[in-house]
Amino acid sequence: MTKWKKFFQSIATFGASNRIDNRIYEYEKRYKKFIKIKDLVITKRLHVKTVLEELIYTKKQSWLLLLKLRKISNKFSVKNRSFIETYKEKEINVNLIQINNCVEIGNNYFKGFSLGVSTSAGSFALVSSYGLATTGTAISSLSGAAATNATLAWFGGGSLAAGGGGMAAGTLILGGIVGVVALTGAGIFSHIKAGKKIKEIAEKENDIIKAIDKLKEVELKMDLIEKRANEIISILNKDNTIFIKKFNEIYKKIYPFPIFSKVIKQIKFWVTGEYFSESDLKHITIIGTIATKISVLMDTKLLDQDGNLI
Amino acid sequence: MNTKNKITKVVGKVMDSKIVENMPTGDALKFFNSLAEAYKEDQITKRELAKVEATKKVLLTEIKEKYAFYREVFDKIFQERKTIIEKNFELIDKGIQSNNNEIILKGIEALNQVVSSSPFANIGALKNALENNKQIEI
Repeated sequence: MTKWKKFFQSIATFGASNRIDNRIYEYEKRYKKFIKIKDLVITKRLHVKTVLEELIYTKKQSWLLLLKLRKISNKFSVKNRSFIETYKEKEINVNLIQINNCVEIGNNYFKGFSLGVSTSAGSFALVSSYGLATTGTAISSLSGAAATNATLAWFGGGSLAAGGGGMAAGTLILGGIVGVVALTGAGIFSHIKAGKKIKEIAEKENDIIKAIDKLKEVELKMDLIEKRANEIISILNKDNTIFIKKFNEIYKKIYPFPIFSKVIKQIKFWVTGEYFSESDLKHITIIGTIATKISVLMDTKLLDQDGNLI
Repeated sequence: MNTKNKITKVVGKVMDSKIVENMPTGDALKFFNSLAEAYKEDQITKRELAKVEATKKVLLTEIKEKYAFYREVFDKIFQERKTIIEKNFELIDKGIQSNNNEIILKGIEALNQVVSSSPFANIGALKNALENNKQIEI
């Protein structure tokens, strides 16, 4: 619009045209801020997704370690199991059922997972946000729409960035603005209409502010979930490192002469029905305790089914 | 300038103009009625706009304060947890150096406790406190 046209329009509308222009300018400023925050949230979403993938990867590493323990525990007799689970000395506390469930569930999830390869939304939601459900929740009950909804709201598609309305809402609001620009009738009655239009724009600006509020909430939640995920990753990594160290140490104690020791133990098993000695079992309780703690960490959930942080 | 003065001024201007001389009485009355109606409507719109503006101010203040508050609280919570985690990492490292399984398992148990205690456990209470303007000690 030319300068002169604007000038005459302002006179003809008793300044209403200027007031509308100022309002539109304010509105557009707010809208740009909204877009900026929305873009930031989208970028953050990708970042958080990477962190959660790292969490899944770390859980996979833990699962591989638990599989190592399983090679030993497969040789347990009923008596051995009972010994291991009831042996409570010096911080030792083994829960073989917990470890076993964790391994079983991991069998379904980790086999095809590798870093950088995007997982399907369902399993992504399940593993990263709902833990491994080792406490007994059936996988089938979690893999439905209900289980993924909350996470999808965070990580999938436009609904997240929208904070409920998203691009669609933004476009609608912008559509309203175009309508406002067209309103510049002459005379005192247009001045009154302009007042109404200004109110309408102000209301729409408030809608944007509310959308910004939602986006900021999502942004905060993402920062928090990232911190929480990093916390679990660092502890799991530490536990994994200790587990490997202790496992190797104890393995050497149980099988000092790898093949020969295994043959001796097998003969002992045929004769007595027991593969491990009590001393072996006491050593195993140490890695069993670490494995139990790892399986608990693997089962730590980040979100509840409604997408709330827990 | 109050409403009455404003109307008197506008009416005076219109009465002085030549438009009124040529205008039939009925039309003039209709014109003034419309003018009064428009003025009334304008005042209502102004009041409504003021309300919208007030809402905007509240919303903006609320957003600014709410997120600053949450961020401060959670920064402190996570910092505290980080300190505990680091202490236990040190404890575990000491246990490994001295080959003391008891210390190692103690450290691991403490780490598990940190993870199992949710940093968001009091988020509901925080929200309530914020909504009710209560004071919170961090």
